[in-house]
Amino acid sequence: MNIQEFEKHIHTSLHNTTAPVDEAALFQALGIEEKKNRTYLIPILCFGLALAVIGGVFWARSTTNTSCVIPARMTEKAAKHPSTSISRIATASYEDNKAKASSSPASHNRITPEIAPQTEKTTLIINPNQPTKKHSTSVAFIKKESPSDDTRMTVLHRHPTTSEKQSREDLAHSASANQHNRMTLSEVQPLTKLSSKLLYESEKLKSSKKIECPRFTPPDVVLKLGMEASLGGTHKTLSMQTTETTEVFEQRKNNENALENIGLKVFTEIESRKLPVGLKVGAEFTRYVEKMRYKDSFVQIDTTVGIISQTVSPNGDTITTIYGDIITETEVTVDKVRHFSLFTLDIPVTATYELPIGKSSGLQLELGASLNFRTWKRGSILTDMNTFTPASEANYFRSSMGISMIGQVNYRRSLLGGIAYIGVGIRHIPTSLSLGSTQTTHKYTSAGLKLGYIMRL
Amino acid sequence: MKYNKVIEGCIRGEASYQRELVRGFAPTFKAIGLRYLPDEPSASDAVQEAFINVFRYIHTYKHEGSFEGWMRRIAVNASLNYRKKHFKQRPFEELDHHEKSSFTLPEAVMKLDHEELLKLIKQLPDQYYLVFSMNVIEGFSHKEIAETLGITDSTSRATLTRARKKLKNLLGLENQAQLQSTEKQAI
Repeated sequence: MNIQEFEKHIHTSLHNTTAPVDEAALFQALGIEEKKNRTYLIPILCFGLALAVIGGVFWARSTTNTSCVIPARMTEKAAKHPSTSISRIATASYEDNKAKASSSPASHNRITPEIAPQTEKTTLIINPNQPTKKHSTSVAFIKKESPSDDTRMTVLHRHPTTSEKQSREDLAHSASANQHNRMTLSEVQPLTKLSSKLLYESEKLKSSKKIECPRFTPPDVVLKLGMEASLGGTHKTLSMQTTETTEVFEQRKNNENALENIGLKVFTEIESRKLPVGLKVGAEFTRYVEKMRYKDSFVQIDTTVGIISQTVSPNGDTITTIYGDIITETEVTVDKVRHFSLFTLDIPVTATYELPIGKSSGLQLELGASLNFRTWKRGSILTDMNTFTPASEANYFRSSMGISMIGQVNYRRSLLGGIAYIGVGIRHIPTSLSLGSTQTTHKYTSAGLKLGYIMRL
Repeated sequence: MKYNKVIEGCIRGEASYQRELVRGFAPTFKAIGLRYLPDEPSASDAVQEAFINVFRYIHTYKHEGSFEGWMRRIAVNASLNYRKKHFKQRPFEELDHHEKSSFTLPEAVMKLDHEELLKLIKQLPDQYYLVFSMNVIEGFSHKEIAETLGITDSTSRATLTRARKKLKNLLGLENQAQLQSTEKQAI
């Protein structure tokens, strides 16, 4: 057997050998460790936010359309002051009746609340079985009794309208059925109070269908929609994870500078009326830009084979020619300017606290976190000496920056039915933008001016 | 191609594809590291450096030749660089290649398993071992060996010839007893 066969055997045996590897340690060292499955957090967060917004809207709406039970002390107050809005239904009907009575020529026997106390021997018939609405259309009919005759007679001379006829029929029916409800006028309180009694003390009223009351107090929360534009600067930190640095890293550290950042945010704001606090949730698009000026000068050596020496004898017979490397040195100066941009799409969630300043302005403090949804890269980045690679292909940046901390202070002022504000904000991204395999840590902290406008939904 | 998707994913910097690549090649890289470096921790460090280089330069892979070959070359280079950085080495002796090595070996050598073979060739002097391994095990050409080690082609060839001779000596002297016993078993 010859040596070639033996070498082939060695190749076959050893070429594909493997050795056990601690994968987890290697992944960690390369910065590509398997993250805990936290993908479920994003839908949960989105669901929570959506629930909060929808809940806020429903809460705000439900507080405007609720059935209400009016407290007794309020009804009395309303009775004394019919114009008070709390008993609008009663007073409105009451006013209707009053108007009808005054327009009718035969309405002198109908006693208005103002004249009721002056009338003597008048019996008030109350029909507690009547539904509230009927009561409201026929608040009270006063029957005048003759002092000499026990026979009660209704003194209503005018031709009744259909509704009044119905009311009177009801009254006649109830008169026979509810004798005990009769009382003399002297026992009767002023009609305004009676009116409230009729409305709010009647058993029928209490057990009847729910009354749809309008709400006169504003909802506890307000939902708003806002838009914000920002312009700011970025502070970048670039460091190596290892003690040794590379030429490329040194070049980048010295010559790569973060420029301005611009952003646009759309958000909803839920504000409490009772407390000066709120919640902002939205979507923000930001662009960060970096610029690099690469300057380098080096000597480029070109070697070509040529005649470097030639000897010719005095008589011209001997010619010696020596061929060799001809080295040409050229000094090359490189001066390149390249930019790269990072576009981020984030979901900022902040809690707000507002300090009022005067009647129409205030100072709002915001604090929260921003979840990076996606990061895109454009432009070129230095990957090797004198070599720029498209940032999207350079295998340098992470595809997501994770969670960053945000804080903002806004001066807000009412303007054109909404709120305009100007503020300053800061954002710190604790996660490195670069991949672990690059052995570099590339972080951003940005601050800037914010301008926004908020409309009430 | 088998690795196209993984290569594209790694170029985009997606960790899942990078992990897939590491899972696929790390055991091979580790074996390469153990062939060129004296201990396990050094081999692990070399594997890590090899993958850093793979991720850094994967966008330069031109899809010419096998991807495994490209990866293997990076692993060998990483191991040799680590060796150069952390372990003292004698400089290569410049040699002219004018010898031919042609000799026969007993059939019993074919019965040696990969551990015994590795143990055997690791007995070669460092420079011989490097050239022999790169040429015979990794399949590098003399030109590639010359570029990697910074020597000339002829030095590489001459070193390989000497390595073969040395190997013959090693087989004849130190492994004689072992070979005889293996032959008996074969009979």
